[in-house]
Amino acid sequence: MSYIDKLFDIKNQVVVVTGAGGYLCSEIAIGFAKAGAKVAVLDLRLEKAQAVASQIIDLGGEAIALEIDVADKEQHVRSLEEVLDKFGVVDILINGAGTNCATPFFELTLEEWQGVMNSQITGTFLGCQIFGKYMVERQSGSIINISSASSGPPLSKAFTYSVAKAGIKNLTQNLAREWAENGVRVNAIRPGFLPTEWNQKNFITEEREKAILGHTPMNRYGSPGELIGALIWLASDAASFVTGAEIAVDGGFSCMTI
Amino acid sequence: MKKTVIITGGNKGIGLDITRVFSESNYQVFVGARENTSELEGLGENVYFVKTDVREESDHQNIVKVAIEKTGRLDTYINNAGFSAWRSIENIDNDFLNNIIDTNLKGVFWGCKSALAVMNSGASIVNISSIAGKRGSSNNSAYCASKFGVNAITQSLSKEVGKKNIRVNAVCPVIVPTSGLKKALELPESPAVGNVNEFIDNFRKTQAALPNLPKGEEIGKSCLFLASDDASAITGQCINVDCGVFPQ
Repeated sequence: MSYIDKLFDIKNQVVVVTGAGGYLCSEIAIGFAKAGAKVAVLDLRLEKAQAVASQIIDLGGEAIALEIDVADKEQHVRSLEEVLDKFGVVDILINGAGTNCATPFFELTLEEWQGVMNSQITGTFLGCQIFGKYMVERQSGSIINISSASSGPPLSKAFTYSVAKAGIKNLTQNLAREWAENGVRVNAIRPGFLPTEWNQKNFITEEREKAILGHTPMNRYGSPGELIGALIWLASDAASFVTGAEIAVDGGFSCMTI
Repeated sequence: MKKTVIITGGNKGIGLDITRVFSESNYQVFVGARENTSELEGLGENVYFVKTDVREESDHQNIVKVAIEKTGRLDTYINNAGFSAWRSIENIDNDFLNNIIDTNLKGVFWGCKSALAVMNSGASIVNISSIAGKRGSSNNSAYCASKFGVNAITQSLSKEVGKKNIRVNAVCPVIVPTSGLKKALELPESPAVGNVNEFIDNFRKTQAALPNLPKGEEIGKSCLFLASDDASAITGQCINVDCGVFPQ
């Protein structure tokens, strides 16, 4: 094994990715599989999870697809059991599930607010609680939450989402402190703009695109594959002294004003 | 310097007594088991629980890593986790056999492999076997096969790693009436079915040379001796700790 392979080695480690049927996390799940990890592909939409799992298996990897509503504690408990039945252990958790909505503030309904909060902050909280307990008891594990360039200062139009991401960042720091002596690291990545089709349609007018790219020193959008390197680093022992960090992968968005 | 021991299944039954004995003898004890217990938590700060499923090689590697990170050493690895279950040959199916072999036999393989990867001169392994590892008995073929296997691992590895001055031994208890064993004795094909306490009492009177059957603490003290430098010339042995049930 070469020095670099050993440094970032996650071969045969078991990673659980929630929201892994989606735009970003499906790429992440496949990236981890390509790095040799065994992947539990969890999503609310089972058929999407299954499609990603079959893609991984077609690539020669190992994967299991499971349905999960991340806002439901029992479903986390059941998922942990099923992953342990299939793979025996859990080494890495990526809390990737979460939704967004573009509703103007005065028109935001309680349902929309709660929908985004449930999937983002409650889902991340429950993932950390259920899988984190297993990891703390095992004295070993790496959790990676998905923060955002909106976690602070916030992004216009994404009111609920920004609140939720600020909460995820805060929880990440608090759990990093809590579990620092228990062998469990908790970090977050802070993606900038890696728009999905839905984002393009619902959020990004021509004017907004100008504003976004004008505030992104690299003057372009990111692609989901560009998150994978940071995630594998955070998951691996190469990041053994890194906890409570929010790693920006944003083309420079967070480093400048004008 | 305090020594470090890892004990699988050290959260209950004989394992908990082994944990107590090592903890009272000033060892830093890492207990690998699927669940923490209140008894374990009561043993103080030199006893650490690390969630471990002995059927998983990576869980053994994990507890070794945790012990080395926290204490910088590994002196003894005690493969204690295991369970007993009686079934006649016609009722043994694949699931039953896999479970007993994965836990009692393969669990010991993975424990030895993970421990030997880091052990230095003077370190030792103690496997908790059984006199069922030396003689067969009715409706007990799966368990006996697993324990004969444990004794085989013990003898083979003692030859394999002896030149590094690492010792590998086993202790072979007979009936220690823990709650786990009593539960197994209630199985429909156990020799004690319906009458566990009477069976144990009868076994003690008719089979043991001494007036008593061994207690968990006595198994623990045998392990402590085998782990100590006082046993520096003993390796590859599977020592009956059985109150004279099976003299050899």
